[in-house]
Amino acid sequence: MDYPSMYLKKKVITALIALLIIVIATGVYFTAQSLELISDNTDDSPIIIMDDLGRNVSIGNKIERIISIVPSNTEIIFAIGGENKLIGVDQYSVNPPRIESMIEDGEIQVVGSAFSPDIEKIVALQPDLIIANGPSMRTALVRLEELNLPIIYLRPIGLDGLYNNIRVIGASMSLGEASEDLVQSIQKRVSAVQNAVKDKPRVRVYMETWSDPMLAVGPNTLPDEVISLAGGINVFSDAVGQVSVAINPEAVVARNPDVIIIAGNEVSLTEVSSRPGFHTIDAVENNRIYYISRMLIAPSPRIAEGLEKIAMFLHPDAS
Amino acid sequence: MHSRGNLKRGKIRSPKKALPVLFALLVATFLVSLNLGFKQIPIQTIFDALFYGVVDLSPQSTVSYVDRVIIMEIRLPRLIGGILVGSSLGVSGAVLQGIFRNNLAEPYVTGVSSGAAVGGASAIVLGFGVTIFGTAAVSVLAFIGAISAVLLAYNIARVGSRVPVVTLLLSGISVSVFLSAIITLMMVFSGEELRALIFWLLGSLSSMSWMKISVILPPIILAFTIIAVYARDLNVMTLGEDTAHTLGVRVERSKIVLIFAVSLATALAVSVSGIIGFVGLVVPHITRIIFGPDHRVLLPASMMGGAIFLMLCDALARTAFRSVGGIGMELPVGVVTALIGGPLFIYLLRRTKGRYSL
Repeated sequence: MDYPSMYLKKKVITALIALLIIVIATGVYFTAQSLELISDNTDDSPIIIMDDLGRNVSIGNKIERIISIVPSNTEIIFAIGGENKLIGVDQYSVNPPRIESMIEDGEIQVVGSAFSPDIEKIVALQPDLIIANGPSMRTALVRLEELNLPIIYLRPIGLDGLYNNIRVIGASMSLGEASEDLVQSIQKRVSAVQNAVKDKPRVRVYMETWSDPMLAVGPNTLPDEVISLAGGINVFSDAVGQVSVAINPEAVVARNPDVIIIAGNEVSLTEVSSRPGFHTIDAVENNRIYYISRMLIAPSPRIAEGLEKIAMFLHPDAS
Repeated sequence: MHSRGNLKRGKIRSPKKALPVLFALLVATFLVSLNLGFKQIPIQTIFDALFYGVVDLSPQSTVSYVDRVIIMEIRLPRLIGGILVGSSLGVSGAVLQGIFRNNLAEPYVTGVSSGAAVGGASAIVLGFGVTIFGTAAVSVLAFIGAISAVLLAYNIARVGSRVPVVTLLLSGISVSVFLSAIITLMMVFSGEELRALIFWLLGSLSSMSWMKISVILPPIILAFTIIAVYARDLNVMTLGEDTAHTLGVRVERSKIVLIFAVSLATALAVSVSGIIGFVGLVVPHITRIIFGPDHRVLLPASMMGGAIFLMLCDALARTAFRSVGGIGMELPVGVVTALIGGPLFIYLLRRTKGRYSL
């Protein structure tokens, strides 16, 4: 055979095979109906909850199996007494401590992290509800949405966001009363702190969330709000709105905070005071550098504890 | 019978006959991977699930509903997606190594990966997952980004209607570098989206679905068909472009068509799975050593080899941490391909000491 006709024959054959495969593929797609995960409890009146991304999620009204992949939400579930319905958590949910024994006993399974979850495990656990934070976790969890698993994305902004979280979680678990109690108990503690500091002069605070590069707490965040409620002012409240703001150490020196709070990252307090230029800062001169665990400034029930602690740092003389 | 000319032999005497063996290996890997996962589902159950899943959802089926969902909706799409992505990357790497006559070429050298990264990152950072297009936004924008980057690199390198190969390589790399810097900039400003962005960039097959497969399958087959037709020309082009020209090959047209086909396949792969590296680099090397440099064999072998390699890496990514402290975390598959591909590449380099040529 000579060159051109061999070429043509090959082209025709491959084109036909390609066509065949396309036809088969289309056929497969349409016959393989997507298997949906329908939960066994057939309810007449499913609850419809609007999550923070504006999605209307329809969930059954007998929620028995919940997976929470955000540690702060896990704490909320425990605080409203819903932990016996919890069947799965992410690997970073380590509070409250009794969760460890529940995991060891196999009552609760670990499903990886929110951004790299074990999709198969989540499906195999057959949850009635999955609670996540959004929208950043959505990319990794969208597969679960496609399988029609009920999933709620929450997006707590500030204290009101936290209260909303608690209420939504409570509503979805039919623990509305307990969640309302929790909200009120937190609000009581918040008011107590506000009263104790209301006549005090505002203290200028620099709260650091990471040391290399230096990240400060930005405005319109929960920690920022907590600082205000505790009778302080975030020295970086004029920064461009973000969760954490990358800053220049010079900026800290220039703004001269009265108090420095290191939130969570592992840097020793002496190391902070020995940073170049920091010795001129009031906070360093008066040795008002404190440490607080990151879990106390997260949108969880322990925010009240965090608030009280910060108030103590800022105004040790208040009640 | 054609004279062998400049083509050297691979390790196998009759490469064409060895291809079915490779295919058998592919099928075997596929079945084993189907078995692995959080729940070890036995072969019988798998066949039941496949049969009932596609044909009939009969309640008399002995397979539990959840197992069926896991196999039909999670593992099967994931593996088929792995085959599509792996074969795209493998064959694209082989083609580009042939075009550039350079063994360091791999699918991302044309700027595809950085373009896809910028596109996908934009979708994630701007929160498109919530508004426009729904969550397909990431894939759509990644694809647009990938194709745009290749077009950019191509137009930079173009001289009239010709594309000098060396210039294309350089322009592709410089476009990649520039776009990578943009990605890093986006990371700085991403705030709460940062972790989602990082994990997407590392590549993962966990979001594969039948929908995605049905969207990318026809164009990928188109790309493969085009590549198959030009395989013979590729053989001749490795002799040098002028030589190929005098032998009757339409060099410029072949180059453009092949680069288009490769970019299409790679862009599709990256848009659904993120950036999975080393498959396009290492797999053609191994197959070249085993099967020889004849592209009519090398290209199908790289396709299947890429599929096998990616399936194995994905199986590892899924199961590596399953039993460690019961964490259940999944490694991004791009990490596994790099961890395995890197040392493998070094080993190949040492073994051949550059003795083999295209």
